[in-house]
Amino acid sequence: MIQTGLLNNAHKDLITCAAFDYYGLRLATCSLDQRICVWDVEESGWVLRDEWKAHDAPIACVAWAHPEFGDVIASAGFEGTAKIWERSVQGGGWEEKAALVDARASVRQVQFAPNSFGLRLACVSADGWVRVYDCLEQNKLDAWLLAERFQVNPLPQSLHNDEGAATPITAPKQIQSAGAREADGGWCISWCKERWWGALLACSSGASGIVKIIRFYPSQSPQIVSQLATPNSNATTSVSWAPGCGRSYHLLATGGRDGHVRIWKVTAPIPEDDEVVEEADHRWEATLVADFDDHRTAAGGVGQVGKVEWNVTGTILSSTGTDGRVRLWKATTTSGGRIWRAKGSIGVEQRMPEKSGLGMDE
Amino acid sequence: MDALHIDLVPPLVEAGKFNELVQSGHIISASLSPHNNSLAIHMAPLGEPSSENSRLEQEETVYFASHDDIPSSDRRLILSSFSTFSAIWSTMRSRESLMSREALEILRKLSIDYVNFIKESWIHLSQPLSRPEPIQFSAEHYRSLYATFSLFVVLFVPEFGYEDAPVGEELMEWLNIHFIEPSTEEGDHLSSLDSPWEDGAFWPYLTRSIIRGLSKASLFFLDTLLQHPSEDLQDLVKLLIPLVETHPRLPQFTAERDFAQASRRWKDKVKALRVEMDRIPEDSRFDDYDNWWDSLSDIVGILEGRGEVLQRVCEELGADWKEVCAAWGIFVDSRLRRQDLPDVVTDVFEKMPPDPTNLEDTIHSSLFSGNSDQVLKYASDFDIWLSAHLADIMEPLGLLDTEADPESELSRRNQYVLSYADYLHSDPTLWRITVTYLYSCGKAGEEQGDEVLLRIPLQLDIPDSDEPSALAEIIKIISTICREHGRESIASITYARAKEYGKAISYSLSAEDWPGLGRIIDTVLQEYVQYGPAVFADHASKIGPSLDQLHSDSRTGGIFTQRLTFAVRYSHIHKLRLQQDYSAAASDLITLLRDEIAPRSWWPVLLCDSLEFLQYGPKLLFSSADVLQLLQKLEEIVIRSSQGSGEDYLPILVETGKGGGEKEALEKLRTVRLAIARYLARYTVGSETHFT
Repeated sequence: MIQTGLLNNAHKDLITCAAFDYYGLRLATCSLDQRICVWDVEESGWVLRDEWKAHDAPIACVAWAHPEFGDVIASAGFEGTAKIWERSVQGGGWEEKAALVDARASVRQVQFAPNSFGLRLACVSADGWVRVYDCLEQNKLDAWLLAERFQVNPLPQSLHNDEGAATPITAPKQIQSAGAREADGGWCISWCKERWWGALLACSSGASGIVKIIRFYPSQSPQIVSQLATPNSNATTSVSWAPGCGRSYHLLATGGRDGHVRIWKVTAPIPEDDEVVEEADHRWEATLVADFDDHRTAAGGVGQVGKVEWNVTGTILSSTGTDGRVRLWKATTTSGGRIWRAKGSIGVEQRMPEKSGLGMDE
Repeated sequence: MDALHIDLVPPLVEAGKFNELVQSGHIISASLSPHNNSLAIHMAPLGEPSSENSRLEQEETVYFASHDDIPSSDRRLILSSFSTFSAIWSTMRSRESLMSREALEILRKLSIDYVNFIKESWIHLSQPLSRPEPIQFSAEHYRSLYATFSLFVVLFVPEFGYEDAPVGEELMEWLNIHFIEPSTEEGDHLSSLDSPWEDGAFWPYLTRSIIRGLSKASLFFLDTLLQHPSEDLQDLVKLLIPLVETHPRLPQFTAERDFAQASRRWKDKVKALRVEMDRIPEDSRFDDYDNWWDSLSDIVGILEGRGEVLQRVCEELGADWKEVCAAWGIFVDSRLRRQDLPDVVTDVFEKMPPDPTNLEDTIHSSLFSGNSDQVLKYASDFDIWLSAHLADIMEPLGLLDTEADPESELSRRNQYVLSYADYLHSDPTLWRITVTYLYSCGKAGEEQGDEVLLRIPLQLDIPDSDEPSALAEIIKIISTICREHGRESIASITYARAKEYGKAISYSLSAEDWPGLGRIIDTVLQEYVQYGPAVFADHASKIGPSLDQLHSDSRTGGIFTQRLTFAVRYSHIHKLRLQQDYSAAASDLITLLRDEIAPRSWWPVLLCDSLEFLQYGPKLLFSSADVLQLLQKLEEIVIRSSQGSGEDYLPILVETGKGGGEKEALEKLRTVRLAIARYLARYTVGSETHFT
């Protein structure tokens, strides 16, 4: 482990999210200060390229689109708006291309689908809804169709609620109740990175902690194909779908308010036809293959996980938590890839005097 | 490998006090970079953002950290071993029988190359130079690697035909190279004495020289004993000297049978010496300092091949199990085979176990025991370069199970090689090497390699004059790698990224990547929309040859032929236009519309292009049938758009209009209609002649 750089005073308030672009050569950061910064890596280090006020509220998340769509960023605001930004080819600077205002509570995470599905954005908001938008004109980026929306944890009588479905939500009440639950909830989404299985999104919302895997179809409403149920009912704060990289099964990681990082192995039937789904759905299986509670330790056993994320080859998982550590996990070679182990950790505490920076502390 | 921990600087809180940050509403957060697996780390709000969060100094800092130390000192080994790794990969791939003589000989040669590369790195790091960067591994680490890889070669990659030959001599040679005993200083000291046997180190030194087969030193000090006050000892030494001199060693013989016979005869002579020794009365076995008889008896016991004596003496000398095992193959069982070694090792370990705190010793003991899985397990703890390269050779030698693990779907070899590639990925300048290792690891490795290759930066927007050649070089390397490993679709995407559409299409054709081909054609057409006809014509002219390739390829079923044909022919029109060959351009334009080679969404664009030809003063470029064709298409667009199908016809014209909508597009088409009307007026007046 080695520290390689430092960016001082990147924002005027706490940074809420940092996202590397597809190549890892640019970094977008957003903050409670309502601004987005885009940094370029140069020989001397990271250099601020652009900075702008993007929302009228704190920003929860930024995400890059695939470079084939140009320099495109989506941002999620606590005022309930997701925005699309494009870097202008001529003058530089970022232009607001669209504001997606359908959410009735703060938008917590935005993520673009893999490029093979076109320019498609999923958003999850604190009202418990996931919304999926398709860009109608990829060259203009100003027209976005709300292609799907559903409640992650619907009331029992409306399992799949698509446009205009039976359980109407009254906006003011929804915001109130969502607001009351926000303190102990978790809102997260992650797209399956591959095209082969169809468009799949893992999502979790609110306090339940259950992660649902939703499959989207061109001509029917989205279906839940599998669920990852944590042993207790704590909220899931982060979910990350590992790049497939040749595996015949999927790996997903979740982090929760119970301080646990979990890795799930999900086996899926080979997709045959978009329309034939019912039989196939029964063959999805999710098993827990790793469960770590290291993030609980330092905070007196009540810690929580902030974020989980896979590297680009799906071989390293990073997790962060209230123990103040970034932890890295890797499957051990000697176990045939079955057993996941800590590979390293990073903290921000004062070094112990006897430590020289490269300690074997675990 | 043990988990490592670092604390970032400047620190945000005192040691052990992160909980205070949590109380004030903070949590740590991180993102992984696709470039090199490094991390961007920052503080984030815990729970709802509120103004009540107490502010923290430097809380807006972003730290960057890498989970693997960026290889610097071991770059030399990474680079040199890469070419050998590639050679092994192509050898194994191109041979049907992995156990053929040729394959095994190549494997041995390349394994020895690895040993030499490690040795070079070791020598390089042993030099007292000042280095700009801190070194990752010490010279001692490379010494361990050198010893370990050499032992692997001795035990598992013998010369072809010698797999079943006695191994003792080779093991002793290995021991003498890597674990030098007794020390030269000791020898120098003893040789400077008049009566060296009076020194406590004399007998141990002599015994060890004999065990190690250092005949020169052994004979020198045996000679000194001829001056010893005891005549008994002198007599015995006179018998011993020729025995040490004539000890049959395998390399001196061409046939093992002769060696075995000579060894038997020699052993009989040693037995005769033992008889002579036993005749020495008990009270004559001492000198003023020591019981010389016991010391001599130990030496003779070893020469007799008595295992228990060898092991006890080695223990007393402070030698370890390695020395016992190597000497076992010289003195106790001079015909010891590689396959018998694990049994010997098991017995030796009972009294002299390997040092569990010394990783190198643990790897060596696993090598001696022939336990490949353990070798790799400990080797990966020691250095993942070692485990990856050992596994890569072990698999073709049949030392590893080639079946994929049902859980990870990876073979043992692939797991270790992928692990090394992950480490290499921490240094993005090593991408070429990283990708080659990845691509040698089956489907999983190929797809990981694709992810890395797709993210190689192509700095297209740097106008520097040197850049194009550097860029061309990178693209060339990528396409070579892709060709070697059958990843043509990745090469195609790379060429498309570099706007080399001709090559991009060619690669997507050979990869049979039809969706990819479709995307490239769309991208080429997009060049027109974004940058106009001149840029488009330039790009599209390079895809012409691909069209012939596509025509001759029946697999595509013509789906893409039409789109590609349109792109090529449309670009040709613009080329003619730019060359002011308006007659030909106008004629081609009509063909594209009449034969419906142009997709409907491009009709309005073509109609707008026709404006220039309709208004061309010197000549009439269209026949009446041509004009009718233009008019028909125009009608269809207008009528269908008014019926709500504008999306099928107008989007491209809308896009090229930069900001306008369908209304503006239809407005533009109205000017075409007007131009057609004027043209027809000119045509019917007949004052001018139509030229085709």
